[in-house]
Amino acid sequence: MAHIPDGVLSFPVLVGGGALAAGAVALGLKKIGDEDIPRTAILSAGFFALSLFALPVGPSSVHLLLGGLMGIVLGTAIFPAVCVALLLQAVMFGFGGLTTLGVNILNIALPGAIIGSLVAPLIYRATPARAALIAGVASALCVGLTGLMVAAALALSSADYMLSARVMIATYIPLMLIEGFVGGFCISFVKRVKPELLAGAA
Amino acid sequence: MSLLRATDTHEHFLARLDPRSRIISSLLAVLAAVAMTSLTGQIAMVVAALALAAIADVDWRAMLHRLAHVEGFMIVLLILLPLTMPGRALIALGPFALSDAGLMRAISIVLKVNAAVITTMALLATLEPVRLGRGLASLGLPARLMHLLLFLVRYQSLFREEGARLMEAMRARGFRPHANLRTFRAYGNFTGMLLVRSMERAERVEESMRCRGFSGKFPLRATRALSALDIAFTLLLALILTGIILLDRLA
Repeated sequence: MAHIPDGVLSFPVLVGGGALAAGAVALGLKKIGDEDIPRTAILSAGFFALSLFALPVGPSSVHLLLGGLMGIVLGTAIFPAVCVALLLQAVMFGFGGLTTLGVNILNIALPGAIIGSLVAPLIYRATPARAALIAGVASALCVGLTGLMVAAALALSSADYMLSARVMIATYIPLMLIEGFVGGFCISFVKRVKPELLAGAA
Repeated sequence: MSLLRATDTHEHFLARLDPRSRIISSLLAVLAAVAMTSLTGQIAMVVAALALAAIADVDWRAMLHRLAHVEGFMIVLLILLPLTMPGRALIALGPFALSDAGLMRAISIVLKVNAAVITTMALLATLEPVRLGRGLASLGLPARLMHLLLFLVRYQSLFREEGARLMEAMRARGFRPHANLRTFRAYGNFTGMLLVRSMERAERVEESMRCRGFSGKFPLRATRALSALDIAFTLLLALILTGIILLDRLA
């Protein structure tokens, strides 16, 4: 749902998004230590694989965006991680696009980076139950912000998209709920099984 | 890895092109596709993209399958634009009216998106991800980003298989997905388990890489110079694209 294809957005939005995303990716890369590359890369591959699973929910199925969880686990490394993941998806599966890569990176990674770095220290210190609550709210919030950013990218591109953008925001509400619950239960599980996973960004 | 016919393994001339030439060519073509303003230009770009796909000898069934797999995003936009954009009403059904301007916009989006996707598939989906990574690195992208890309290519299929096994085990224990809290808890545990497994795998790989003296850099293979074929292909494509852009602006 968050993969805007080539050919929808206007040039100023594409250029602006591309420039901001390039800066964010460079910043994220700088923060990864030389020796942390394998660890960050393999964790990113885990998140990428997770995002490709279509999870059946009722009559439909969802793909998780994972912005919140990635932000909590990877910190600012979320930018390069999402960058390579979206590039591969565009090239291998035709989802998203090449010109929209920057905008799509920001839409998914920016909420995750900001909210993730804010809550990661809290989650690291909290009990599993509290950590789950924080992570759940953070995950849902990230999905909501991604929805708002997708809508904003459309609305900024052309006034004609205005109403469509508003309706699109509504489609993110069920996704927020699902990802909130899944993210919360996920962190509760990780807290009990392997809390070191949460030490990186905290 | 790719759903398309593996052009790389055949004696196809695209396979002999340098990845850099293919990356630059597809970027140019996608930019041109996005820049089209008239219906004539948009149709011409779709024709050009199909021609490229024919040259690349793609598997048409796999291609159609991918094009048909439009995302929810596009569906929402394509349904809403004709209904919400102001313009002359073509058909009115009570409060809903199909506007001509909205319909035209929807058609132009379908054409542009498809031209871009077809081009990307023709030139890049047929390229081995490893060669794509090397090509991007020699075009000046940070080596570190390319290391991430190569690890992602290597480990994503492994974790997808691992995830599929976890799912199968869940089903074997009687898990049936519904829209309820129990399902979300199961998915949360599934997500957490896959992350824990990736973390454990990462630790093992990190240790073994350190044993072999990894200090953050892989030796990068020296890139060969671009051949005449590489330059000719990209230049010819750029020429054709310029022609289409002129056609678009004059139409």
